[in-house]
Amino acid sequence: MNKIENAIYQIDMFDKQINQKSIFNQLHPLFKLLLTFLYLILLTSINPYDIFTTIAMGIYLFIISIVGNLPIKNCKKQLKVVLLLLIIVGIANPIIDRRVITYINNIPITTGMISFITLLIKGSFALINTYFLIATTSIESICYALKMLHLPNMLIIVFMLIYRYITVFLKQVEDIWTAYSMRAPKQKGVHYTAWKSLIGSFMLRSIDRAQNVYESMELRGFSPDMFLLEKRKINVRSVSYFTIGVMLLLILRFIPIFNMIGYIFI
Amino acid sequence: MIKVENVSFSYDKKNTIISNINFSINDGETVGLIGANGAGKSTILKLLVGLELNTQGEITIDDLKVQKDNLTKIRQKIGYVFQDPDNQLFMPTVYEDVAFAPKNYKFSPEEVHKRTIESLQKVGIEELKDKPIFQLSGGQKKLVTIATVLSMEPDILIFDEPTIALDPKNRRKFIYLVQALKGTKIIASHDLDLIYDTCSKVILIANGKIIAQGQTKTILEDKDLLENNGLELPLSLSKR
Repeated sequence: MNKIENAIYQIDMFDKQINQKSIFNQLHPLFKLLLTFLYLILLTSINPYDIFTTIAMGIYLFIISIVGNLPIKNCKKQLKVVLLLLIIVGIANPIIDRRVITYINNIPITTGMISFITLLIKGSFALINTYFLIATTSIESICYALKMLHLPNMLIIVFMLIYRYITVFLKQVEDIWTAYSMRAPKQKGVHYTAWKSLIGSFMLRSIDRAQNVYESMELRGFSPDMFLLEKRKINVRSVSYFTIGVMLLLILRFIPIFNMIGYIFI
Repeated sequence: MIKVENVSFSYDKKNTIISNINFSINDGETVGLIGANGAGKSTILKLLVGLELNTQGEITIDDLKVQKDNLTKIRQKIGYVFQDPDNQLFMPTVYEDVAFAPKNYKFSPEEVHKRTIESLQKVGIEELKDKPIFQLSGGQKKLVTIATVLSMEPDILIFDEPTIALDPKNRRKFIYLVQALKGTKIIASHDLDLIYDTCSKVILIANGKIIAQGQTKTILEDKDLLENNGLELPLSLSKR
């Protein structure tokens, strides 16, 4: 399976997961979205040197993973990419910030090291948290929640259509890539002289395909408001989930759990 | 009933794509729109559903004039099957794509489900309902596109080059399906054997003009007429 097919397969896996009837899939999308935002806000607000509070925020993800049967390993590929980016962004921290705060086996631990590790943990947690949202909530439901938060209709529709168009877009890339590689079998990658025409051809084909897909949607009665008008009931389970989630997040963020556990043993 | 009266169409003033065409199609008729590549068949189909609106003349579908105000009503009456299934299928699974139209027309969830399953059964692909679109073969995709429009329960079905890329078995399956489907059907194709097997009436187009229209047998057996307009006798007739 090539990379593009793999990407299409991944999207399909998400869609399959969304259609499962697990506890989280049936919760109201607004509450899931709000909790995701709250988690991200609380996570990013943690002091870059406060590694224990950052780690404590992982408890929430662990609980969600167990209760919702959402294996974290499913997003390991995305995690690799994010971690690589974070390493590039944060690699300078240990070099610049050399203030020693403690020693472990005579190895000096600097604030730069701590902030670097915290950055990696924060990035990973943010990605896993977002993965949990998109793995349990369809794009239409997320759009519905965004609508409830009074985001402009136009933005929401564009967001929804872009998501729907990703598979079509990837197929276009795959077709063009196949056509190219069949006639350039000995080349690794795309030769720089071919980039211009390949991108041009891809753009034109994409516009044409997008136009056709939209026409097909219109002919089947598509109206931009369709998914946004479909009402979803707020049930007791969703409100309970939201309330417990907020409480747990606030506890993890503002109460030094690891310190308290440490005191017990001292 | 479909009425097309003195219709002309062009994207710009210089190049006329469709030139002063007239025809009518009665309820329940199956009509073939034939012509060589680039004759204007697909454009005529697009005019019928209002995908192109800058026309001269008048098109009416069951007394509804094809114009912006009436498009929702007209499109609910017409099921349009695109030439390339990849242009028509965009939802993650077969079920969701077939359910797309009834959902849009705001039927109840029970009705949406009923229509979706019935449409899949009609084209004989119920077992594919949970399959992702990108895992389907060309023939399966074509059948799914038909199911996607059947779920609207349209009075009129339009097929644009329906047998392109179908293998003989799927092509035969498609012909049986068209014969079994009720309502008015318009098939644009240069697969004249398909037209011969399915249509009672034929409209021959060349360079955006209607060259001839009439009984299928009369037109498709006229070798000179077909050859003068970039077509050939259907294989089944040329073997005789």
